[in-house]
Amino acid sequence: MTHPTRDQLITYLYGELDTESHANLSTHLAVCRDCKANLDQWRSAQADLNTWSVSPPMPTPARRWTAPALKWGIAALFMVSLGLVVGRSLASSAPNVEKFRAAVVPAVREELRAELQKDFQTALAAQQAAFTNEFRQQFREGLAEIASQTLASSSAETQRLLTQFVENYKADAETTLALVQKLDQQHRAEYANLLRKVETIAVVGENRFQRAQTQLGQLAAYAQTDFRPDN
Amino acid sequence: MRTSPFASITSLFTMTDEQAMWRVQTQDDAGAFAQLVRRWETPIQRLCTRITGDTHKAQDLAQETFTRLFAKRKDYQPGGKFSTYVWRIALNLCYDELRRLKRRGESPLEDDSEERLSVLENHDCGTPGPDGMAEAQERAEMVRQALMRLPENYRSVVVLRHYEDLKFREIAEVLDIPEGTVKSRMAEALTQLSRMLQPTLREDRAKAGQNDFLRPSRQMDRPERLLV
Repeated sequence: MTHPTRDQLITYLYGELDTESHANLSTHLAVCRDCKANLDQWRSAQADLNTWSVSPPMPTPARRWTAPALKWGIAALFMVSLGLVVGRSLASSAPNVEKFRAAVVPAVREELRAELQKDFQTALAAQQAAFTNEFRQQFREGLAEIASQTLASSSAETQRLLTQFVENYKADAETTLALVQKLDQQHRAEYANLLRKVETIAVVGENRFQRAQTQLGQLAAYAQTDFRPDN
Repeated sequence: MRTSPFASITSLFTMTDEQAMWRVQTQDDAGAFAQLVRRWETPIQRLCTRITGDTHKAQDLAQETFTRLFAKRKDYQPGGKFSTYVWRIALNLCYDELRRLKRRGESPLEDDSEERLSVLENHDCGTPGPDGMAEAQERAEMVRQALMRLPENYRSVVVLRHYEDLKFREIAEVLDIPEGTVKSRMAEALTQLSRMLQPTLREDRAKAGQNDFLRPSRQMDRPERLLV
Protein backbone atom coordinates (compact mmCIF):
# COMPACT_ATOMS: atom_id res chain seq x y z
CA MET A 1 0.00 0.00 0.00
CA THR A 2 1.56 3.30 -1.04
CA HIS A 3 0.60 6.17 1.15
CA PRO A 4 0.08 9.75 0.06
CA THR A 5 2.66 12.33 1.04
CA ARG A 6 1.76 14.88 3.64
CA ASP A 7 1.56 17.55 0.94
CA GLN A 8 -0.86 15.42 -1.04
CA LEU A 9 -2.98 14.85 2.03
CA ILE A 10 -3.23 18.55 2.84
CA THR A 11 -4.02 19.28 -0.81
CA TYR A 12 -6.75 16.68 -0.61
CA LEU A 13 -8.11 18.18 2.59
CA TYR A 14 -8.56 21.56 0.94
CA GLY A 15 -10.05 20.12 -2.21
CA GLU A 16 -7.24 21.12 -4.53
CA LEU A 17 -6.41 17.68 -5.90
CA ASP A 18 -7.43 16.81 -9.44
CA THR A 19 -10.44 14.56 -9.77
CA GLU A 20 -8.51 11.36 -10.39
CA SER A 21 -6.03 11.83 -7.57
CA HIS A 22 -8.85 12.81 -5.27
CA ALA A 23 -10.74 9.63 -6.06
CA ASN A 24 -7.62 7.51 -5.57
CA LEU A 25 -6.89 9.09 -2.24
CA SER A 26 -10.46 8.65 -1.09
CA THR A 27 -10.16 4.98 -1.89
CA HIS A 28 -6.91 4.76 0.05
CA LEU A 29 -8.40 6.53 3.06
CA ALA A 30 -11.20 4.01 3.18
CA VAL A 31 -8.71 1.27 3.93
CA CYS A 32 -5.78 3.03 5.63
CA ARG A 33 -6.22 3.72 9.33
CA ASP A 34 -3.11 5.85 9.76
CA CYS A 35 -3.79 8.26 6.95
CA LYS A 36 -7.41 8.51 8.02
CA ALA A 37 -6.33 9.31 11.58
CA ASN A 38 -4.01 12.04 10.30
CA LEU A 39 -6.79 13.54 8.23
CA ASP A 40 -9.23 13.39 11.14
CA GLN A 41 -6.72 15.18 13.31
CA TRP A 42 -6.54 17.99 10.79
CA ARG A 43 -10.31 18.06 10.38
CA SER A 44 -10.80 18.59 14.10
CA ALA A 45 -8.33 21.49 13.94
CA GLN A 46 -10.33 22.93 11.05
CA ALA A 47 -13.55 22.66 13.05
CA ASP A 48 -11.91 24.51 15.90
CA LEU A 49 -10.61 27.21 13.60
CA ASN A 50 -14.14 27.74 12.37
CA THR A 51 -15.31 28.66 15.86
CA TRP A 52 -13.33 31.91 15.73
CA SER A 53 -15.33 34.26 13.54
CA VAL A 54 -14.31 37.88 13.24
CA SER A 55 -17.23 40.22 12.96
CA PRO A 56 -17.07 43.04 10.45
CA PRO A 57 -16.01 46.41 11.82
CA MET A 58 -18.55 48.73 13.39
CA PRO A 59 -20.49 50.21 10.50
CA THR A 60 -19.17 53.68 9.90
CA PRO A 61 -22.09 56.07 10.16
CA ALA A 62 -23.30 56.41 6.61
CA ARG A 63 -25.14 59.61 7.21
CA ARG A 64 -22.23 61.53 8.66
CA TRP A 65 -21.96 63.17 5.30
CA THR A 66 -24.97 65.23 6.18
CA ALA A 67 -23.64 66.08 9.64
CA PRO A 68 -21.20 68.73 8.40
CA ALA A 69 -23.94 70.26 6.30
CA LEU A 70 -26.16 70.39 9.33
CA LYS A 71 -23.33 71.93 11.30
CA TRP A 72 -22.91 74.63 8.70
CA GLY A 73 -26.60 75.40 9.03
CA ILE A 74 -26.37 75.60 12.78
CA ALA A 75 -23.21 77.68 12.53
CA ALA A 76 -24.90 80.13 10.20
CA LEU A 77 -27.86 80.40 12.51
CA PHE A 78 -25.55 80.87 15.44
CA MET A 79 -23.69 83.66 13.69
CA VAL A 80 -26.88 85.45 12.88
CA SER A 81 -28.27 85.09 16.36
CA LEU A 82 -24.94 86.10 17.87
CA GLY A 83 -24.98 89.18 15.76
CA LEU A 84 -28.51 89.95 16.88
CA VAL A 85 -27.79 89.30 20.53
CA VAL A 86 -24.62 91.31 20.48
CA GLY A 87 -26.33 94.11 18.61
CA ARG A 88 -29.28 94.22 20.97
CA SER A 89 -27.47 93.90 24.25
CA LEU A 90 -24.84 96.42 23.37
CA ALA A 91 -27.11 98.82 21.56
CA SER A 92 -26.90 101.15 24.51
CA SER A 93 -23.10 101.20 24.64
CA ALA A 94 -22.72 101.88 20.98
CA PRO A 95 -18.97 102.64 20.80
CA ASN A 96 -17.92 99.11 21.92
CA VAL A 97 -20.24 97.12 19.66
CA GLU A 98 -18.04 97.30 16.63
CA LYS A 99 -14.93 96.51 18.61
CA PHE A 100 -16.63 93.54 20.22
CA ARG A 101 -17.90 92.30 16.93
CA ALA A 102 -14.51 92.75 15.34
CA ALA A 103 -12.86 90.76 18.13
CA VAL A 104 -15.31 87.97 18.78
CA VAL A 105 -16.93 87.19 15.49
CA PRO A 106 -13.83 86.44 13.44
CA ALA A 107 -12.43 84.24 16.19
CA VAL A 108 -15.63 82.26 16.47
CA ARG A 109 -15.95 82.06 12.72
CA GLU A 110 -12.37 80.84 12.40
CA GLU A 111 -12.87 78.23 15.07
CA LEU A 112 -16.02 76.95 13.51
CA ARG A 113 -14.43 76.90 10.11
CA ALA A 114 -11.42 74.93 11.32
CA GLU A 115 -13.65 72.45 13.08
CA LEU A 116 -15.93 72.05 10.14
CA GLN A 117 -13.01 71.66 7.80
CA LYS A 118 -11.70 68.86 9.97
CA ASP A 119 -15.10 67.27 10.00
CA PHE A 120 -15.35 67.58 6.27
CA GLN A 121 -11.98 66.02 5.70
CA THR A 122 -12.71 63.17 8.05
CA ALA A 123 -16.08 62.63 6.52
CA LEU A 124 -14.58 62.92 3.08
CA ALA A 125 -11.81 60.45 3.75
CA ALA A 126 -14.09 57.98 5.40
CA GLN A 127 -17.14 58.43 3.31
CA GLN A 128 -15.86 58.84 -0.18
CA ALA A 129 -17.24 55.43 -0.92
CA ALA A 130 -20.59 56.06 0.70
CA PHE A 131 -20.83 59.36 -1.10
CA THR A 132 -20.04 57.82 -4.44
CA ASN A 133 -22.70 55.23 -3.77
CA GLU A 134 -25.20 57.84 -2.70
CA PHE A 135 -24.35 60.09 -5.59
CA ARG A 136 -24.69 57.23 -8.00
CA GLN A 137 -28.03 56.35 -6.47
CA GLN A 138 -29.30 59.92 -6.59
CA PHE A 139 -27.98 60.41 -10.08
CA ARG A 140 -29.80 57.31 -11.23
CA GLU A 141 -32.96 58.33 -9.43
CA GLY A 142 -32.65 61.83 -10.83
CA LEU A 143 -32.31 60.56 -14.34
CA ALA A 144 -35.19 58.16 -13.87
CA GLU A 145 -37.27 61.02 -12.53
CA ILE A 146 -36.47 63.24 -15.50
CA ALA A 147 -37.14 60.41 -17.92
CA SER A 148 -40.51 59.56 -16.42
CA GLN A 149 -41.51 63.18 -16.25
CA THR A 150 -40.57 63.72 -19.85
CA LEU A 151 -42.48 60.66 -20.86
CA ALA A 152 -45.57 61.67 -18.89
CA SER A 153 -45.72 65.16 -20.29
CA SER A 154 -45.11 64.11 -23.83
CA SER A 155 -47.22 60.99 -23.94
CA ALA A 156 -50.15 62.82 -25.52
CA GLU A 157 -47.91 64.32 -28.16
CA THR A 158 -46.23 60.96 -28.63
CA GLN A 159 -49.55 59.30 -29.21
CA ARG A 160 -50.37 61.78 -31.91
CA LEU A 161 -47.00 61.36 -33.57
CA LEU A 162 -47.19 57.61 -33.35
CA THR A 163 -50.62 57.56 -34.95
CA GLN A 164 -49.40 59.80 -37.72
CA PHE A 165 -46.36 57.64 -38.21
CA VAL A 166 -48.50 54.55 -38.48
CA GLU A 167 -50.71 56.25 -41.04
CA ASN A 168 -47.72 57.32 -43.05
CA TYR A 169 -46.27 53.90 -42.72
CA LYS A 170 -49.44 52.33 -44.00
CA ALA A 171 -49.57 54.75 -46.92
CA ASP A 172 -45.92 54.07 -47.56
CA ALA A 173 -46.56 50.40 -47.38
CA GLU A 174 -49.26 50.53 -49.99
CA THR A 175 -47.12 52.62 -52.31
CA THR A 176 -44.25 50.25 -51.82
CA LEU A 177 -46.45 47.30 -52.51
CA ALA A 178 -47.69 48.83 -55.76
CA LEU A 179 -44.10 49.49 -56.76
CA VAL A 180 -43.08 45.97 -55.95
CA GLN A 181 -45.91 44.54 -57.95
CA LYS A 182 -45.03 46.72 -60.90
CA LEU A 183 -41.42 45.63 -60.69
CA ASP A 184 -42.53 42.07 -60.48
CA GLN A 185 -44.57 42.40 -63.60
CA GLN A 186 -41.67 43.97 -65.39
CA HIS A 187 -39.40 41.18 -64.34
CA ARG A 188 -41.80 38.59 -65.53
CA ALA A 189 -42.13 40.35 -68.91
CA GLU A 190 -38.41 40.59 -69.24
CA TYR A 191 -37.94 37.01 -68.29
CA ALA A 192 -40.48 35.85 -70.82
CA ASN A 193 -38.76 37.92 -73.44
CA LEU A 194 -35.41 36.49 -72.56
CA LEU A 195 -36.76 33.01 -72.63
CA ARG A 196 -38.13 33.52 -76.11
CA LYS A 197 -34.79 34.79 -77.30
CA VAL A 198 -33.00 31.85 -75.87
CA GLU A 199 -35.41 29.48 -77.46
CA THR A 200 -34.93 31.22 -80.75
CA ILE A 201 -31.20 30.87 -80.48
CA ALA A 202 -31.61 27.25 -79.56
CA VAL A 203 -33.73 26.60 -82.59
CA VAL A 204 -31.45 28.54 -84.84
CA GLY A 205 -28.50 26.85 -83.31
CA GLU A 206 -30.03 23.47 -83.82
CA ASN A 207 -30.65 24.20 -87.47
CA ARG A 208 -27.14 25.40 -88.01
CA PHE A 209 -25.75 22.41 -86.23
CA GLN A 210 -27.70 20.08 -88.43
CA ARG A 211 -26.55 21.92 -91.49
CA ALA A 212 -22.98 21.78 -90.27
CA GLN A 213 -23.32 18.08 -89.65
CA THR A 214 -24.61 17.55 -93.15
CA GLN A 215 -21.81 19.59 -94.61
CA LEU A 216 -19.24 17.69 -92.62
CA GLY A 217 -20.67 14.43 -93.78
CA GLN A 218 -20.52 15.57 -97.39
CA LEU A 219 -16.96 16.72 -96.90
CA ALA A 220 -15.96 13.43 -95.36
CA ALA A 221 -17.51 11.47 -98.24
CA TYR A 222 -15.76 13.69 -100.73
CA ALA A 223 -12.43 13.28 -98.98
CA GLN A 224 -12.77 9.52 -98.97
CA THR A 225 -13.62 9.52 -102.64
CA ASP A 226 -10.50 11.56 -103.26
CA PHE A 227 -8.19 9.09 -101.63
CA ARG A 228 -9.44 5.87 -102.98
CA PRO A 229 -6.42 4.25 -104.54
CA ASP A 230 -8.13 2.94 -107.59
CA ASN A 231 -9.39 6.35 -108.63
CA MET B 1 -36.59 41.37 -20.20
CA ARG B 2 -36.43 44.97 -19.21
CA THR B 3 -32.95 46.35 -18.74
CA SER B 4 -32.44 49.61 -16.96
CA PRO B 5 -31.97 52.43 -19.45
CA PHE B 6 -29.08 53.54 -17.27
CA ALA B 7 -27.31 50.19 -17.28
CA SER B 8 -24.51 51.58 -19.41
CA ILE B 9 -23.97 54.37 -16.93
CA THR B 10 -23.93 51.94 -14.01
CA SER B 11 -21.36 49.79 -15.76
CA LEU B 12 -19.02 52.76 -15.77
CA PHE B 13 -18.82 52.44 -12.00
CA THR B 14 -17.85 48.78 -11.78
CA MET B 15 -14.27 48.02 -12.53
CA THR B 16 -11.99 45.13 -11.79
CA ASP B 17 -9.48 45.68 -9.00
CA GLU B 18 -6.70 45.90 -11.55
CA GLN B 19 -8.56 48.51 -13.59
CA ALA B 20 -9.33 50.52 -10.47
CA MET B 21 -5.71 50.38 -9.31
CA TRP B 22 -4.55 51.47 -12.73
CA ARG B 23 -6.79 54.52 -12.51
CA VAL B 24 -5.48 55.28 -9.03
CA GLN B 25 -1.93 54.93 -10.26
CA THR B 26 -2.24 57.01 -13.41
CA GLN B 27 -4.96 59.51 -12.57
CA ASP B 28 -5.13 59.61 -8.77
CA ASP B 29 -8.76 58.59 -9.25
CA ALA B 30 -10.40 58.97 -5.83
CA GLY B 31 -13.55 57.15 -6.90
CA ALA B 32 -11.59 54.11 -8.04
CA PHE B 33 -9.61 54.16 -4.81
CA ALA B 34 -12.81 54.36 -2.78
CA GLN B 35 -14.11 51.33 -4.63
CA LEU B 36 -10.99 49.36 -3.76
CA VAL B 37 -11.27 50.36 -0.13
CA ARG B 38 -14.90 49.40 -0.02
CA ARG B 39 -14.21 45.98 -1.50
CA TRP B 40 -11.12 45.14 0.53
CA GLU B 41 -11.39 46.79 3.92
CA THR B 42 -13.28 43.91 5.53
CA PRO B 43 -11.03 41.08 4.30
CA ILE B 44 -7.90 43.08 5.16
CA GLN B 45 -9.23 43.85 8.59
CA ARG B 46 -10.05 40.17 9.14
CA LEU B 47 -6.54 39.19 8.16
CA CYS B 48 -4.95 41.78 10.43
CA THR B 49 -7.14 40.68 13.34
CA ARG B 50 -6.09 37.09 12.97
CA ILE B 51 -2.41 37.74 12.39
CA THR B 52 -1.99 40.16 15.29
CA GLY B 53 -4.71 38.74 17.51
CA ASP B 54 -5.78 42.30 18.28
CA THR B 55 -9.05 43.64 16.86
CA HIS B 56 -8.40 47.30 17.55
CA LYS B 57 -4.85 47.25 16.31
CA ALA B 58 -6.17 45.49 13.24
CA GLN B 59 -8.40 48.46 12.39
CA ASP B 60 -5.38 50.77 12.48
CA LEU B 61 -3.35 48.35 10.40
CA ALA B 62 -6.12 48.05 7.82
CA GLN B 63 -6.29 51.82 7.61
CA GLU B 64 -2.51 51.93 7.26
CA THR B 65 -2.67 49.33 4.50
CA PHE B 66 -4.82 51.53 2.33
CA THR B 67 -2.80 54.62 3.13
CA ARG B 68 0.31 52.79 2.04
CA LEU B 69 -1.46 51.41 -1.00
CA PHE B 70 -2.22 54.94 -2.10
CA ALA B 71 1.14 56.39 -1.10
CA LYS B 72 3.01 53.71 -3.02
CA ARG B 73 0.64 53.49 -5.95
CA LYS B 74 3.48 54.06 -8.40
CA ASP B 75 5.08 50.82 -7.25
CA TYR B 76 2.17 48.68 -8.35
CA GLN B 77 2.97 46.53 -11.35
CA PRO B 78 -0.03 46.87 -13.69
CA GLY B 79 0.37 43.30 -14.98
CA GLY B 80 0.12 41.76 -11.54
CA LYS B 81 -2.86 40.69 -9.46
CA PHE B 82 -4.14 43.40 -7.19
CA SER B 83 -5.15 40.93 -4.50
CA THR B 84 -1.59 39.59 -4.18
CA TYR B 85 -0.33 43.15 -3.85
CA VAL B 86 -2.75 44.24 -1.16
CA TRP B 87 -2.45 41.02 0.90
CA ARG B 88 1.30 41.48 0.88
CA ILE B 89 1.14 45.09 2.08
CA ALA B 90 -1.21 44.13 4.90
CA LEU B 91 0.89 41.15 5.96
CA ASN B 92 4.09 43.18 6.04
CA LEU B 93 2.43 45.79 8.22
CA CYS B 94 1.22 43.05 10.55
CA TYR B 95 4.71 41.58 10.78
CA ASP B 96 6.14 45.02 11.51
CA GLU B 97 3.62 45.48 14.28
CA LEU B 98 4.40 42.07 15.79
CA ARG B 99 8.13 42.83 15.69
CA ARG B 100 7.50 46.17 17.32
CA LEU B 101 5.56 44.48 20.11
CA LYS B 102 8.29 41.92 20.58
CA ARG B 103 10.94 44.63 20.90
CA ARG B 104 8.84 46.35 23.51
CA GLY B 105 8.55 43.09 25.36
CA GLU B 106 4.81 42.96 24.87
CA SER B 107 3.42 39.61 23.96
CA PRO B 108 0.11 39.48 22.18
CA LEU B 109 -0.93 36.83 24.65
CA GLU B 110 -0.19 38.66 27.88
CA ASP B 111 -2.54 41.22 29.32
CA ASP B 112 -5.17 39.94 27.02
CA SER B 113 -8.15 40.92 29.08
CA GLU B 114 -9.16 43.61 26.63
CA GLU B 115 -8.73 41.34 23.68
CA ARG B 116 -10.61 38.54 25.37
CA LEU B 117 -13.46 40.95 25.95
CA SER B 118 -13.28 42.03 22.35
CA VAL B 119 -13.42 38.45 21.09
CA LEU B 120 -16.28 37.68 23.42
CA GLU B 121 -18.19 40.78 22.34
CA ASN B 122 -17.59 40.33 18.67
CA HIS B 123 -18.07 36.63 18.58
CA ASP B 124 -20.70 35.77 16.11
CA CYS B 125 -22.33 32.52 17.12
CA GLY B 126 -25.71 31.25 16.13
CA THR B 127 -26.20 29.11 19.19
CA PRO B 128 -29.03 30.17 21.44
CA GLY B 129 -28.92 29.90 25.18
CA PRO B 130 -26.39 31.49 27.53
CA ASP B 131 -24.43 28.30 28.23
CA GLY B 132 -23.91 27.39 24.61
CA MET B 133 -22.82 30.93 23.83
CA ALA B 134 -20.31 31.16 26.65
CA GLU B 135 -18.79 27.85 25.64
CA ALA B 136 -18.50 28.90 22.00
CA GLN B 137 -16.94 32.19 22.99
CA GLU B 138 -14.45 30.45 25.20
CA ARG B 139 -13.60 28.15 22.35
CA ALA B 140 -13.03 31.10 20.05
CA GLU B 141 -10.66 32.66 22.56
CA MET B 142 -8.77 29.37 22.83
CA VAL B 143 -8.43 29.28 19.07
CA ARG B 144 -7.16 32.83 19.02
CA GLN B 145 -4.52 32.01 21.62
CA ALA B 146 -3.54 28.82 19.81
CA LEU B 147 -3.08 30.75 16.57
CA MET B 148 -0.98 33.34 18.35
CA ARG B 149 1.28 30.57 19.62
CA LEU B 150 2.03 29.48 16.07
CA PRO B 151 5.09 31.01 14.41
CA GLU B 152 4.13 33.99 12.24
CA ASN B 153 4.90 32.33 8.94
CA TYR B 154 2.73 29.34 9.87
CA ARG B 155 -0.05 31.58 11.08
CA SER B 156 -0.08 33.51 7.79
CA VAL B 157 -0.58 30.33 5.80
CA VAL B 158 -3.43 29.22 8.04
CA VAL B 159 -5.15 32.59 7.88
CA LEU B 160 -4.82 32.89 4.12
CA ARG B 161 -5.83 29.29 3.33
CA HIS B 162 -8.41 28.56 5.97
CA TYR B 163 -10.02 31.92 6.65
CA GLU B 164 -9.51 33.85 3.42
CA ASP B 165 -9.80 30.75 1.22
CA LEU B 166 -6.84 31.47 -1.03
CA LYS B 167 -5.50 28.54 -3.06
CA PHE B 168 -2.06 27.21 -2.11
CA ARG B 169 -0.68 28.59 -5.34
CA GLU B 170 -2.02 32.08 -4.57
CA ILE B 171 -0.55 31.96 -1.08
CA ALA B 172 2.79 31.00 -2.60
CA GLU B 173 2.61 34.15 -4.74
CA VAL B 174 1.72 36.39 -1.83
CA LEU B 175 4.44 35.02 0.43
CA ASP B 176 6.91 34.55 -2.43
CA ILE B 177 7.74 30.98 -1.41
CA PRO B 178 7.36 27.65 -3.21
CA GLU B 179 3.93 26.06 -3.19
CA GLY B 180 5.36 22.95 -1.54
CA THR B 181 6.58 25.04 1.38
CA VAL B 182 3.12 26.53 1.77
CA LYS B 183 1.58 23.07 1.94
CA SER B 184 4.15 21.78 4.42
CA ARG B 185 3.59 24.75 6.68
CA MET B 186 -0.16 24.28 6.51
CA ALA B 187 0.08 20.61 7.36
CA GLU B 188 2.43 21.28 10.26
CA ALA B 189 0.29 24.17 11.49
CA LEU B 190 -2.87 22.08 11.54
CA THR B 191 -1.04 19.32 13.38
CA GLN B 192 0.23 21.73 16.03
CA LEU B 193 -3.16 23.42 16.34
CA SER B 194 -4.91 20.12 16.82
CA ARG B 195 -2.50 19.25 19.62
CA MET B 196 -3.02 22.60 21.29
CA LEU B 197 -6.78 22.52 21.03
CA GLN B 198 -7.69 18.93 21.65
CA PRO B 199 -5.95 17.83 24.84
CA THR B 200 -8.92 15.88 26.13
CA LEU B 201 -9.30 14.02 22.89
CA ARG B 202 -5.63 13.15 22.98
CA GLU B 203 -5.94 11.78 26.48
CA ASP B 204 -8.91 9.65 25.51
CA ARG B 205 -7.08 8.21 22.57
CA ALA B 206 -3.99 7.57 24.69
CA LYS B 207 -6.14 5.60 27.07
CA ALA B 208 -7.52 3.59 24.18
CA GLY B 209 -3.94 2.66 23.30
CA GLN B 210 -3.59 4.65 20.10
CA ASN B 211 0.00 5.69 20.78
CA ASP B 212 0.56 6.68 17.22
CA PHE B 213 -1.44 9.80 17.80
CA LEU B 214 1.07 11.16 20.28
CA ARG B 215 3.97 10.88 17.88
CA PRO B 216 4.74 13.66 15.47
CA SER B 217 2.95 13.31 12.19
CA ARG B 218 3.78 9.91 10.80
CA GLN B 219 4.18 11.21 7.31
CA MET B 220 7.35 12.96 8.41
CA ASP B 221 9.01 9.62 9.22
CA ARG B 222 7.97 7.93 6.05
CA PRO B 223 9.98 8.61 2.90
CA GLU B 224 8.03 10.62 0.40
CA ARG B 225 6.14 8.39 -1.98
CA LEU B 226 4.06 9.27 -4.96
CA LEU B 227 0.39 8.63 -4.97
CA VAL B 228 -0.50 5.77 -7.31
